Amino acid sequence: MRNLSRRTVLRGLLGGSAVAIGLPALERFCNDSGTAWAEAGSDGFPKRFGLFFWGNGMLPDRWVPKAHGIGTAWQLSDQLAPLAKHKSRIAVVTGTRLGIPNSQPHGAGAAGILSGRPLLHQGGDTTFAGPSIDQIVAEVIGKDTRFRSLEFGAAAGNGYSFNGPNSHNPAESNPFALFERVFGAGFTMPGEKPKFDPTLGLRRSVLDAVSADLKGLRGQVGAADAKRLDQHFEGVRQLEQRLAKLELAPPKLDACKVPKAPDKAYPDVEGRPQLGKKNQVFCELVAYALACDQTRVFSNFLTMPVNNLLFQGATTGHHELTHNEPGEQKEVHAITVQCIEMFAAQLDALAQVQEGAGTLLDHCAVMGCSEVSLGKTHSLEEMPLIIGGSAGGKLKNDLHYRSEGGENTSKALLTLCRAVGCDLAEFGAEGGKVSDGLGALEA
Amino acid sequence: MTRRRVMLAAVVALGACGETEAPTPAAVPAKLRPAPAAMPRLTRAQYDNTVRDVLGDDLALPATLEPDVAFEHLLTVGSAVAKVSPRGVELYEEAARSLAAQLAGKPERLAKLLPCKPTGPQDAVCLGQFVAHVGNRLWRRALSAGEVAAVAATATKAAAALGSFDKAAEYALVALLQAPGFLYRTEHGEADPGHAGCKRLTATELASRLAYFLWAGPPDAALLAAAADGSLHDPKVRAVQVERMLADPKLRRSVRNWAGEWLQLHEVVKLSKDPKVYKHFSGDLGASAREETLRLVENLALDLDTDFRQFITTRTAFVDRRLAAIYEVPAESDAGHAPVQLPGWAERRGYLGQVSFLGHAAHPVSSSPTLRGAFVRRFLLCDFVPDPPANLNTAIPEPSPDAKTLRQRLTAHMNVPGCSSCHKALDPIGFAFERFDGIGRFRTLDNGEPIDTTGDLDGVPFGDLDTFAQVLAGSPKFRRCVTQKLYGYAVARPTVAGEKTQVDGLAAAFAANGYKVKALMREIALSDGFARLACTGGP
Repeated sequence: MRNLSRRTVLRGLLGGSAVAIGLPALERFCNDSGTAWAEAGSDGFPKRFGLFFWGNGMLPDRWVPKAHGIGTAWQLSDQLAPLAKHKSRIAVVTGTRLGIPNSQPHGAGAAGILSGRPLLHQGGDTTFAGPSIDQIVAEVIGKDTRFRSLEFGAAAGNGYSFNGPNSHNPAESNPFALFERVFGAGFTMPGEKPKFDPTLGLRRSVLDAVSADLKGLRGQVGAADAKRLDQHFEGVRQLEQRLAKLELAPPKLDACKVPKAPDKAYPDVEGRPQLGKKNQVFCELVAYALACDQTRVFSNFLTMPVNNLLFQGATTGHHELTHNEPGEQKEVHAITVQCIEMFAAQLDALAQVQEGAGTLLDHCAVMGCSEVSLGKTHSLEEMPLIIGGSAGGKLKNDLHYRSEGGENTSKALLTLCRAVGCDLAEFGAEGGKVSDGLGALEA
Repeated sequence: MTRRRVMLAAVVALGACGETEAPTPAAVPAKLRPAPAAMPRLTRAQYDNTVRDVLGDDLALPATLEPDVAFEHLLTVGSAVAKVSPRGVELYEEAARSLAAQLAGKPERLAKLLPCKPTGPQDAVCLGQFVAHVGNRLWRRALSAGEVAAVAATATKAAAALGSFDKAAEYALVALLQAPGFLYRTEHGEADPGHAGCKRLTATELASRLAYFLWAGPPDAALLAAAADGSLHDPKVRAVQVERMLADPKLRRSVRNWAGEWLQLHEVVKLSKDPKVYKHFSGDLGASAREETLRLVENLALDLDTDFRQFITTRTAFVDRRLAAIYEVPAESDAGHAPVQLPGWAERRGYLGQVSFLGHAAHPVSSSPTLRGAFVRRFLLCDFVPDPPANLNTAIPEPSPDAKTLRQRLTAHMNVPGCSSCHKALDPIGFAFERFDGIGRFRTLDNGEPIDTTGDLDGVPFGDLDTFAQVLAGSPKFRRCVTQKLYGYAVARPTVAGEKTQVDGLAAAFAANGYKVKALMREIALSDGFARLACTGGP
């Protein structure tokens, strides 16, 4: 119940604060009635959504578990073996396909799996046509927390979190910077009173002036630039809300603690990135960001599509290997296994945080995916998808769901959105659009 | 998301590759259909330079800001397309507070920015003068009375809450630095008296565009003054200002900034190679390679102000010890990059002989004629290189007794239906560089076999890198491409179809002026397409 009381406080405060309204709101996706959002699970803990993404796909022959069903009916495959410890807390979805055209190797798949929409081509350049799933759910379950969402990853580049066309939420690649952002200045330990800060009011006053300027400018520019200003305005609005939250005394959370500060840098060793080490630190950081209720939505972009990183033990870059390694692609297999080990590390970190009678992982739905299945052919059939956690009991675990008819992958994404409290009528667009979820995943 | 390098790119529209074009007189084309108004956001480089030029060059600049995203392969063009993220807004706020606090913490520095001497914490007159004065420089235009009042209102609250005029000035800066007037280069335009039904940039907007093009920074007081009285619209005044700007040392930072964007040097910095395969690799090689490329551009464009085709053909290299070891030449200096002459017998020359090309357009453990060919097409010829079909097995054959070298293996691959059209447009260019391995060291054998570097560029044959460089440098497409890259950088927005004749004309002028980059910058800055805006109901 404590979450409810906190939410009431937040809503009261934001309702009366200086949050400027006046620009047309950005397109809304979830049911915004105010009843469904951020609805806590039956044990009172909020639901969280996570994304874990790695680039360049997998090897379907060694990925898909042989049998399907629940519990003892199925066993992990070669490539999923690192998840053994978490078998009872995951669902593996196989046999689905993206319904969107494969208009650009890797790029189309990334847009399809993350947004359910075809990649948007603008001359020679491309972007997402709509928001990625993390931002769709953040609109509802990200409202109450200091950070609407957090994007990061060991080799994330800019990541693939989109608010809409040409609107990227850049990912953080430096664990120390993420630590500072979440647990540095502005962090108040839940249960403690924030220190009075006389500058907060001034900062909000500045943001009010910025909002007014954006509003004034909006009337003088063309439609495309007006949308850019709307997005800027949305950023200012979110920052105003964050500053308002700094004045709250958040209720005590037993699971919250400040993690150890990470190293300031993780330089390459022998020309190879320290992916595992960096990822481990990120995973623990974000687990405590969730446990301390600083955010309820995260995206961990471990590696990006087309990345040509030198993985441990590999003779050349990942992307090059997916295309040029002959035969059964032992090196590609070993890299995929490393990626799944790093996904397992994310689940480990969440499972190690106790929340009530369960763990943080129980209150999460973590979507593990890549942008293609077989990297060699950029295939969008047989998409890799693993769901970690049950979203507070809404999703079945210890399940291998095999889609025999090649259902649209968007169906699984729609189910995920609904499970964490985003009451969508449909998900995706054009060939990626669905209005039914995958009932077999629902508990 | 920008287009990324694809390993085995891609089908090139071959029809477009064989096109030749004769130089035409450097007259302004009659058929320009100008682009609509744009609203570029300051790129990271422009943000930094604006802060430095206006507030002082000793300030600690923000460690992180919203990353620039490329469009048409240029970050400056992307700045007119990409939206700022909520995280970006957060970073702008942090940056504004940090910069303002640094100044408020140094009273003597703040005093230099103040046009008046405050009589007390609540000196509203002096505060208003400060906001108008610094605001004018930061926003590159005069602030309206209402705008001054809005900024001063917050500042006055700060003075009341924190008890000093310095705090008022600090919060005035916090507000000015987060405002759209600072972060965006707004271009609304005004009726163009010379072209009925069309618009042009206002004199103030023109001043900004000139300054961010030629200086990668804000207009100075003299340029703002020429804008304020409208005289900048006078072609003679514009020419005088452009001449003054071309002679200013700040030109150098813009030339460097442009070359960095054009040649993807922000990616080159991240160069990564397997040190077991390439013992010359170290983590700072990318930064060193980037600097070498910039030094060559500066040398030709500014120091010598000479024929820029030498960028491709020169035998002068700017090397530090790391690069000297890779190029097998003596390093002239222990400290940084110094010019050396590559020996006459050496095949290496120009930019295409540099690590920032040879190492960048390659794999972590091997060379790649395909990546190198695609890079040349995209960035030096401005050809559109589409992505390969997505559902194609792009694997190249393994070495065999019949096909030992990478060239032989790729040639086999080129005969596979579905692969041939892509690779035939890219690989024959890339073969020119095959005597340079994946980090850029010279070699004569690949897998024990001699290397064949012959090929043709859109039908013009070459024998090796030396002759390829001659063919490329003489190609009309190369000069058109350099012109397009500089024009896109100058106007800071996507180029529209109606500007084709403008860019064609500028490319011809580039040739007529002896391929001098500075002269091309002058032509662009004085061109119609640079200052005019779209017409209603067509041209």
